[in-house]
Amino acid sequence: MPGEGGMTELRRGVLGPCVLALLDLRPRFGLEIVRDLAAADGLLTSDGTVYPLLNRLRDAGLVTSEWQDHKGERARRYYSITEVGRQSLTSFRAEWAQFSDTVSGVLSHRTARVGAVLDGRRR
Amino acid sequence: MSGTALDRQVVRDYLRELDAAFATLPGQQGRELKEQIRAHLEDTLGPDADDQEAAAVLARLGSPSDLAAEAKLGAAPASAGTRWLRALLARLDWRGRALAVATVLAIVTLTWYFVSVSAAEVPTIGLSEGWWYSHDARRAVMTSADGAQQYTAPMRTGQRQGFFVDINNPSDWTQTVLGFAGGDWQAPGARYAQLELGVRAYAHGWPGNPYTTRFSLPGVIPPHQWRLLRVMWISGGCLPQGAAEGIDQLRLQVRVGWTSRAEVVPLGQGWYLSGPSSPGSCPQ
Repeated sequence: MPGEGGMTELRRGVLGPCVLALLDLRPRFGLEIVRDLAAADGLLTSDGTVYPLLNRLRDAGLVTSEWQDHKGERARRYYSITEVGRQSLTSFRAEWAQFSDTVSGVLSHRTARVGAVLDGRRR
Repeated sequence: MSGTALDRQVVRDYLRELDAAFATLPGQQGRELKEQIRAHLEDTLGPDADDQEAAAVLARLGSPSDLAAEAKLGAAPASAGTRWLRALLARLDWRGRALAVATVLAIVTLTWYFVSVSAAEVPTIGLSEGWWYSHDARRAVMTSADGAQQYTAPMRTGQRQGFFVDINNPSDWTQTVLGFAGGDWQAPGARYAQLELGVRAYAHGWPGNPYTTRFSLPGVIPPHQWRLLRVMWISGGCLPQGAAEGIDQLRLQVRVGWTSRAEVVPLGQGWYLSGPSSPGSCPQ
């Protein structure tokens, strides 16, 4: 049984694609992303972790950021997904579907199916 | 009570902890992250937020050390020296940082200054030159040997003799000729020599009539400008028939910026006096 440390690692691993998925809909500023992720229960352990993640995604060329000054509001840094980010997201979506299915299968003791999947990979 | 949530004591304490925790991050990364956290706090905490609300927002944000640890996941590891410097800066208040910055700037400026001054090029001699007195010029002989030229005039014992050359300051610094280096006189057949610099500026080429130029010492040569340099002496000593003595370089004491240094300036040709000196100048 994975402890809290294991879940933290899991969250960290999927948080990046989740941010990309949000930005795939439209550009957002930092707090918007935090709130949307927080609304998905259990995804965020702390709001602050989103910002280092955004910077890592930007450094990897998956998102860009720019300051926007909307009327009546203070200037905010908006994040947008890049084409490379979209490709990465598409790829992750495909892999995640299979991965989560496999993990769900193992967790629900559907070993025969898992065994078949593993056997299929070995072949 | 102040107007912004960032001025709340609990928030200020958090941001201070954030500064300390981010001190181990690369500068740009730490600054950017802090700016993002500040923007987050400004967005989430209205001006009416009380301490409880602020504490709740800060708790959701995560501890500064956790944020720093999260940021380090993708950061290049800092060297031990950089970590030490960041830790030191993190302990300093704004006055200490200002003092550290001022000290570093002063050291950099002084280093740049001394490197620039020491790298300033030594003055060079041009092509306009001649014996100062016409009867020396008329009787002078130019000879060449081993690629070196020598301009020789007969010694006139007890009389003033001398020559002038044009001198260029090729550096970006003003150079002020103070005299001969080490206080030496440098003239052929003389007990002392007088060194002076013409103060009239002119373009490279013919400097005009040297006899209407005012000479003085110290003599200032602005960057990339030309001046006339005159060396005069009263000839004396013993110089037998067929013997000659002279100089082919000047060792000048020159002030560049705040520092003074000795510069060896090749004259391009030798300035020589030939014997014999007057009867009675040589010991019997």
